[in-house]
Amino acid sequence: MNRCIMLMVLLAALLSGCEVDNGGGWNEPLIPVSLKGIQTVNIDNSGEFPKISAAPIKKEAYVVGVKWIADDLPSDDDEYITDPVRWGEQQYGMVADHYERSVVCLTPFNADIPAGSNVSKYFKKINYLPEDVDEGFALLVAPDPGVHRFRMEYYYAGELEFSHETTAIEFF
Amino acid sequence: MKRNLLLLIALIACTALLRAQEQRESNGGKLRPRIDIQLVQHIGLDAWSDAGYVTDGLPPVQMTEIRGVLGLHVKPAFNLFGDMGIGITPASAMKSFDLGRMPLPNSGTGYYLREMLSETGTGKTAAHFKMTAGWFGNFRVGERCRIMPHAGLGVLSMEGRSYEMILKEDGSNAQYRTTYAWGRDFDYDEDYPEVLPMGYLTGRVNVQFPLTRKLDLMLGLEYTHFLTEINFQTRYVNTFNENIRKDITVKGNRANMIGLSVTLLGSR
Repeated sequence: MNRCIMLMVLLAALLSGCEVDNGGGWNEPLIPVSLKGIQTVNIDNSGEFPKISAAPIKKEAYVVGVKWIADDLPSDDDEYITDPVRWGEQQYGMVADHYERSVVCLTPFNADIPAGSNVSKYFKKINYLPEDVDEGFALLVAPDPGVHRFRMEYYYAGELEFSHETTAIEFF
Repeated sequence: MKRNLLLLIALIACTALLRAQEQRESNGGKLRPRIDIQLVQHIGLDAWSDAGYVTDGLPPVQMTEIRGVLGLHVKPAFNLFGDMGIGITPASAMKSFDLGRMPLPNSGTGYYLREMLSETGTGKTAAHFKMTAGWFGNFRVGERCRIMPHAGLGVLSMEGRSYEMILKEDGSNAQYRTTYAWGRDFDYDEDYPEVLPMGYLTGRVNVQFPLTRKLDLMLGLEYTHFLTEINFQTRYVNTFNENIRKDITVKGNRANMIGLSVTLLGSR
């Protein structure tokens, strides 16, 4: 019986020790980052690997890519040194999580959709992108062939925070 | 593999126990068990499926088996047997996944493998657990020869195999979450099966004759007919709207094998 109790105490001590290790933190500290702007690129997704392109793109294989412009300055106003950020919203991959995205066509999309229309519903997010592109949105409804331009917009709480226009790209 | 090892251990333990019982009952009991260790080579008479890519993903219908057989002698024409063994199948023709062999969402269109989401099973040489039970006769022919016809029902545990991946269409943004699964029924199975229990009927004829004064040789010819077929299913789901683009089911064959067994045993 005594041996049992001793074993249980030992086990509890070991477990609590593990917890202290995890909570006490040897996790690598993260550098806080915040989104300062966006830059759009035209992506040709017709082949095995998507690539940034200025050449004409097949209209069924167009992706608008977004590069985030971020800095490593904290976005909060703390006057005193705070604990390292261990996890949360300030990781680089999550800097744009709170933003709503929208795409506006700057040229006529087709005979029914004039320039200036919101065409967000024709785009879906994809994850397989060129290495230096942070977000990509695949165009799933082919517009008319010809030269097209789009504007990517990032909204926060309904307010437009960032926007960037793509360069003119020819669809065939 | 771990499961097969455990079963092998169980088989050895069971054999040892029965051997002890055999010794005890030979001293006066009426029920005389007979235990043999047999080596069997099975050769397939047909394929798991008529579709080449389905068969390529499975081990060939061919097996080298080592099994322990327990026979309970009741009457010369009515005896019972049970066996447990490990069957080793060679590697499948498609050892590792090859998209070039598989059906695609639209024929004539190229597809790229963007991301492998999950895979179960392998195409490598594998060991499978096998178990049979049934009836056998034991008829004396001449002074030391015996003919023993067997009929039984058994089960073979085959390893399931499946792949889930993202396929991207050449020349467009279209992409599909694609599943290739051997032995899975999308309508009933929520998970990919790790083990496919394959039921079979077997008929065997063993002939035992003396090799030396103290050693007999038993040769057997056997036929196995599988009662279970391995169906193959493919599903393509559009990743953008979760619509099922296509479901394909390829019905499998009830395969047959013929086998030759060899047993060395002491003269009785």
